[in-house]
Amino acid sequence: MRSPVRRVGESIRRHPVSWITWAVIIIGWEILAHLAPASTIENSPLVPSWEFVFTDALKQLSGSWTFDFWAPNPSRGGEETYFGALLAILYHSSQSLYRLVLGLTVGVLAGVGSALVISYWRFARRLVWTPLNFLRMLPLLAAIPLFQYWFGPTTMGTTVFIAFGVWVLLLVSTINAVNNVPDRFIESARTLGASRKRTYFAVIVPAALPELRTSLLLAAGLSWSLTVGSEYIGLGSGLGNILAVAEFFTNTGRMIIIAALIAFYALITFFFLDKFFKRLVSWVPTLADDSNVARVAGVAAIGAPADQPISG
Amino acid sequence: MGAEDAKRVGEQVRAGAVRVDHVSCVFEHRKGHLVNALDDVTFTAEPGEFVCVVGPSGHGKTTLLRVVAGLQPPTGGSVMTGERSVAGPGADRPMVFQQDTVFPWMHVRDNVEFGLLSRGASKADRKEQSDRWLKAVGLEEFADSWPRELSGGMRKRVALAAVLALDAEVALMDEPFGSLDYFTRRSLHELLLELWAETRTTIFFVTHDIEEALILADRILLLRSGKLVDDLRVSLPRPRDEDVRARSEAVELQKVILHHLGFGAEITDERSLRDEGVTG
Repeated sequence: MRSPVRRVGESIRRHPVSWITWAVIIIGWEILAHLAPASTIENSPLVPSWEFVFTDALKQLSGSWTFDFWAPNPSRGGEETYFGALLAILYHSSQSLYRLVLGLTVGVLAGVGSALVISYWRFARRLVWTPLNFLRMLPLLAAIPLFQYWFGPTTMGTTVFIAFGVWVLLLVSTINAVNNVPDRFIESARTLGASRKRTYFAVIVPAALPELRTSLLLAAGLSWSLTVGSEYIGLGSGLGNILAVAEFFTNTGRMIIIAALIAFYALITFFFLDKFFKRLVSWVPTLADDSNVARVAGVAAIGAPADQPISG
Repeated sequence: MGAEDAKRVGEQVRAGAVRVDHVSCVFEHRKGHLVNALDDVTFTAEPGEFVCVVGPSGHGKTTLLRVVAGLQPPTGGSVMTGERSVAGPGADRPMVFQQDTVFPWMHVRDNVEFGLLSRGASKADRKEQSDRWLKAVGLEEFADSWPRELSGGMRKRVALAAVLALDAEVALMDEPFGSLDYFTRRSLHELLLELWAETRTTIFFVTHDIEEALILADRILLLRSGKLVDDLRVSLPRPRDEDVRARSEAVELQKVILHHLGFGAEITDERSLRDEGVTG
């Protein structure tokens, strides 16, 4: 097994441009931090230096550790510690992840399931298509207060809200994926004697799956936005809540840490979701090669990678 | 089609035969422009015949095959197979398509068994049939492979096996080897003729390749602008290798085909051609 240092070395040799880009961003940020005008508020530089981010700002995160065990509780006059910061990150991350996984799972199952039912009956498709297109246009973040009014500022409310957003996305994209199944597969099945029901479940549904890859990755990105958004507006825990507190204290360093953490978690989510999906549709020729996190992240950001068809 | 007509046609059509009776197919394009894809086409394919439908692209070959398959309802006329009037697609007329239609999400064996499962065949029966046909097309070692692991020619063999496993009296083929290289195509011609000799399935084979039609057909139907312009019987001996296809009657037959389709030189002596075994 290769050591991590050797792997990084190989990666630098193979992808020098990516590493140079990261180096430019990190160095450029540091230069900007020194050029930016000083803030009038203590501990709130407009552009925080890396030193500030990884010392003061990181330690201040322990303010979000609100329990009286394992580490001092700064809200009760306790000292700010790195261990407290670590506990705060782990606790709030687990809260966000729990809501995200629950909402995403319910949303994906409900979205794909209801779309398959709707697609099977032409009448149902006609019935829901217009309201569905209206729902697509709904600015989801604007619906957060409504969901919190209905379900309260609770984990339940956030989960239902995430599931709703993912449901709308996957409902529309699954119906589209079913509509985009090449006629040749359907006609071939029919001439081989398959009934309408068998053609649907043995041919149309599996043929539609590869097109759902992009939507699934987009749903993962969306669910992170919805989780953080709803926590930011109304919940007392989660990474979104830390962001809200950081904003209250205009602590740009904490904002940077949480934003980077969310990006990291989103990348991990894409990676595992893509692994899972590739296993699900391992028969697709263009998905046969190994997962590439950078490309997958690109998929979520822009919809589809430019160099490779998603559906194969 | 009325009951009387059905009875009359049914009496004339034997099992395995296909009767295409005054079939027309008119498509409406944009701006109300009408296109006669098929114009009053009538013929009967006898049981066990290998019929090639030849014509330039866009002259109705595929439409004719789709009408026989039941994938395209005609705007006039009817199609009978055996005593049944064609009203939709069915396993009695399975089809090999021009495009790759092997289901990529199923293993090779599951593809071959697809039609059998649709018909409700038992697991043992399906296994027996798929073993037989995978061996017949030379893919017994690839039964558990994904289609993506096969070449284009091998996937065509899978499609062929899936169709022949149904043991239907009629099989339809729409330029099935059109996208393959010359050598793969030639080996598939040999395979198809072997399997046809074994099953004596009535085969409708659409192609725009005259050489392919000469290698395969008992009979060549020429379609031009949706009309059946000639119905040629090919009496060349089999196997029709390069030497057979270089014979004067084969060359003259090519000229007849080209002439009817609006290409090539005038036919020198059609009467002597008919005497030599090429009959229209």
